[in-house]
Amino acid sequence: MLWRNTIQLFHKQVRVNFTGPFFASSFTNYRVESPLMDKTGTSRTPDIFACGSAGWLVIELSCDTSSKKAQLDSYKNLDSRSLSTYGCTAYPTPPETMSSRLCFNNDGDHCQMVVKDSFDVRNDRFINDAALRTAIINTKGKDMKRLPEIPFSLVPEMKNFEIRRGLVDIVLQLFDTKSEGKTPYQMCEEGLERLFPLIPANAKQSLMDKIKQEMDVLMTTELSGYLELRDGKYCSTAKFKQYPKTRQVIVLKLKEWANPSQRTMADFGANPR
Amino acid sequence: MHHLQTFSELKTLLQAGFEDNEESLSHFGATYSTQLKAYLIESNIPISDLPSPSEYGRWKKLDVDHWYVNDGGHLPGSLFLDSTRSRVWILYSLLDAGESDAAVANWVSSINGIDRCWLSRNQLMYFGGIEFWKEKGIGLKFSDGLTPEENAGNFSLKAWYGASRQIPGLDDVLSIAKEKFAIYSTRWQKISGGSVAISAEWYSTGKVTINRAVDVEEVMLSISDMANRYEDSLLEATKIRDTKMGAFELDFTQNIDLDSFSRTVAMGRGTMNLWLVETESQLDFRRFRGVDLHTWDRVFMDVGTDYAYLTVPGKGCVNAAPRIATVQGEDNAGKTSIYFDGVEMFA
Repeated sequence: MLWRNTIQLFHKQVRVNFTGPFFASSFTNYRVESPLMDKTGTSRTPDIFACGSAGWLVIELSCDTSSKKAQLDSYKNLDSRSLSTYGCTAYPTPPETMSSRLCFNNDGDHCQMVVKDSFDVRNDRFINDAALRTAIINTKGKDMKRLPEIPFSLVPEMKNFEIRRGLVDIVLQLFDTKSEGKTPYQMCEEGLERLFPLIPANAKQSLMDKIKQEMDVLMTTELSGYLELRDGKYCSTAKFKQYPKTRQVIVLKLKEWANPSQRTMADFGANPR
Repeated sequence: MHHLQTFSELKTLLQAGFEDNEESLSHFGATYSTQLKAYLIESNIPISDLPSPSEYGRWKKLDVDHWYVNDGGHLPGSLFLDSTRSRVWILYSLLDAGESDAAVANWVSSINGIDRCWLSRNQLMYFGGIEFWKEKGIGLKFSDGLTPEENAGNFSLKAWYGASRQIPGLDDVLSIAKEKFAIYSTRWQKISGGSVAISAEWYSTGKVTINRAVDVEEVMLSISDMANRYEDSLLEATKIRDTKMGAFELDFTQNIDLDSFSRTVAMGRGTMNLWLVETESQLDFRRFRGVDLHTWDRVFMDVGTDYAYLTVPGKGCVNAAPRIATVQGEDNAGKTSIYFDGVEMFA
């Protein structure tokens, strides 16, 4: 949710009546997890940076309780000339710095955004770009519950059920009759999507271990008999047939595995009305 | 049929068909002219990887680059492939209508990496903005596919404009229906020198039938024009997929029953061909993750009662956006438009 709702601040969704403040203030050219250099020659990797018509910004996302103050302070010293690596021009001013969280924390003298069910902001006075500040203030209170998903479904910090939810579509692909199965490495690569080449090797290894752990649970419990491990790859078995009822069983089992609290009577074949 | 060797022979054959010229047709071993059909094919594979069209023999290159004819097998010289564009090919067919549609359906479903082109409403109406073209008819469709068959409120209408004006009020009904339901075909005439130069019907599945024509090159150019537009849209959508992380926004005119949608996609059933797991549920909003069974590519769908957001992760084909919009529109969602960041796509 943190990544999804933060990324959607760069977009406009007409049907749910949401115009992200960065979209509204023309910061539409953004990148995630891309390294930049600071003025001392040190490489720093903000979670997101974006370029606008008159300035640039960096955002640090966090779910934990430790302050992001030191990290955000260090971004003030980023050298905008390193933006040329990504096709952006240099700016005469330091970047606007801000954190994005699911609840407020003390991140020092930087703008702090909360992107849970609705948008909230504190310390907007630290934003120097007047148009950006106005757009951020105007977004306060906007509903974020129906914003669309983003292309990556896994990030290294995810735990148990988040990992499982991030894998459900990748698991369904195993039931393609032409599928040769997938290793935990492939699942990690597909789930991280464009983040994959940007994530350090140790974080990827840790995520792969978590994927393997959750997939082993799925293979031995909910989808026992339907999935097997062959030569290090998770594969579907001959028990699966491409029938609507069988597909429904697989979906029901995946829901049970990934989202046990979401099950309804309809999942058990009861008439919902 | 005489084995075609050259591009020039192909044009002569098609021209003879338009003129119903028995002498020319007989030169190619044909005894009667068959209506020309063309299918826009979305391709993700190089032409060198394209398998033969099964019982219709193998693809043989003509004497010009990018053009192929089926050779050997059943009815040689009846299918022609223009692979000039990397993402949108044009398959011309002289097979009888039923056989042609079935052959293309089998061909597309059996080859990984190709799909139909799914024409949006604006693309189907494209010729309306071009000089000399006149809209002559329209086909509308709503299958009510999420409702059990006994209660389904199906709607299907095909109207030729000349006849509709003989019944007062029918034009108004057509206008209203056009705004509520998906358009699945449009009929066009190109007028040149006071007479009909081309009479064609375009379908949302990327097919066009040429009912009447004067000049083969004029016909080919009009079909190429649509292929170019579709390819431009695909390239634009692919760029968005690769550089942005927003979603394609599908705007419906009919309310859909979210419980029925959820049950249908859980089984991968129906014409939508989506197999999805519901991952979050609110009364008026559901999130789904799963696969598009046309391609087995991953798709994320966030669905409200009259809209949906579609995210295509990885290198999944962006043709899923117009396909889902078209199929879902005709099946259960009515007139459907695609937007990204508030700007209409595939338009």
